[in-house]
Amino acid sequence: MNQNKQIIVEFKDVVKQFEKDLVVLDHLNMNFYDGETHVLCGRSGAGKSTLIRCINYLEKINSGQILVEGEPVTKKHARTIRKKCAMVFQSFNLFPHMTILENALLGPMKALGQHKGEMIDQIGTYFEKVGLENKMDALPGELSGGQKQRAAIVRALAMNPDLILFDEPTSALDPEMIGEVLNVMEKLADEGRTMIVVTHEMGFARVAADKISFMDAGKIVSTCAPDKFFTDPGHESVERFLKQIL
Amino acid sequence: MSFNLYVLFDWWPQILSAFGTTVFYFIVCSIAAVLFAIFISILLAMRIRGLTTILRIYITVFRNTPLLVQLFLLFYGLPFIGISLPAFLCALIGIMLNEGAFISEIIRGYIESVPKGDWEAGESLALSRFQVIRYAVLPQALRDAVPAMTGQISIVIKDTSLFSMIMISELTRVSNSIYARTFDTTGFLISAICYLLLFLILSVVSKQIEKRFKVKR
Repeated sequence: MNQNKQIIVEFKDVVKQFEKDLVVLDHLNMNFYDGETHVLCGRSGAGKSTLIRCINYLEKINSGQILVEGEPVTKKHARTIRKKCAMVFQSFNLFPHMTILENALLGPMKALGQHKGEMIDQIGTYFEKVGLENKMDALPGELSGGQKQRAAIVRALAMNPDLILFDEPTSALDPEMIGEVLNVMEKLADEGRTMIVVTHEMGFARVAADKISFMDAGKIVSTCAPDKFFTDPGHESVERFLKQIL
Repeated sequence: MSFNLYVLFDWWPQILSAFGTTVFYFIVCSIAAVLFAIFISILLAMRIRGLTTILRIYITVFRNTPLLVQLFLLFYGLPFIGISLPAFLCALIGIMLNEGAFISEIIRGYIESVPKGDWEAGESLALSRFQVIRYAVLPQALRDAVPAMTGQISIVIKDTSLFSMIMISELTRVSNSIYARTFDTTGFLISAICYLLLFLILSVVSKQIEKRFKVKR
């Protein structure tokens, strides 16, 4: 089913360990494809967040190779890779001394060398898309958790990335705010944005994902389309996981 | 010891001039020390191997030797190696190096207390380490550091009294002159009041800065 799609991220026998005995990614081989929304799920500590943090070099791998659009993820290429891969964090990580508009402008202006005038209209449309067009001059401290996360999504979009990495974007939110963030992410998925999403939100995965992978102990134990994943994932540990959370 | 008004009436031009000198030195030296400290703390945060070690040595030396000794070395010592600096420059450089070491340590502490996630957010926006420090981390750290920096800057007010030892006619030196001529300690009391006044002004300004720039997380 991936024959016509281009590989955007390729993991080749990747090992990541934090201490001598703590292997978080265990000889991982995996491809992510352009235009797909790929959800990663699994128990806490399975290695999901580490996997996406390795893609933009926030974590350094111990062995193997990761390629982003054919370019190896190394210290030397880190900034080039990060220009292509934006990231949305669990705790938003907006800079508290800047308005959310300034947060969104920082990357394009300072890293991509774009001018404010060129960017402001485009960023304005992103803020409209996430329903924050009236809050652009607000400081993060003046916003709710859901609003902060939507602003963080705009900051990622402003980089005009080829890939957006989401690291548990709703985990730090109150239940009533989760929906507003997931709605935005669903819109992005519908637009055909390439996204890798670490989440426990199985409702989102069912509706928006093109593929779902289940991770266990640093390995991908199952990758399939949502329909198959929820009916016949083909692995006992996935079935157990689904029974527990659904 | 009593407060004799005649001292104020007889010596007010000298006292006023000395107060002006103290205020001038306090402002110029404080600004220089803070700017220098910011520069040092940025270099420390850049984690450039070799340079960090040199900076740690500088900070240890200047934090752990008396300012008066440093001023004497600048004023009396440098001429022995062919460098004669005017008293103003000795005072400026002395405070800049001494207080810069203390203030840079304060800023470094606040830089390190900026959440790791904010560093990572900056990095994931493809910013260089310097850009992350310049745009994301340092502005937060400086805002948080205002109260602690004010405490350190208030020491500069008192430090200016040491300039009397390198021939600068500031408050303490003029008070001493008054005492030498009159055997009256009122000049010292006036100096103490002036130093206190400067500290109170600094406190008010600092509270305003703190209020204006406080980071709400």
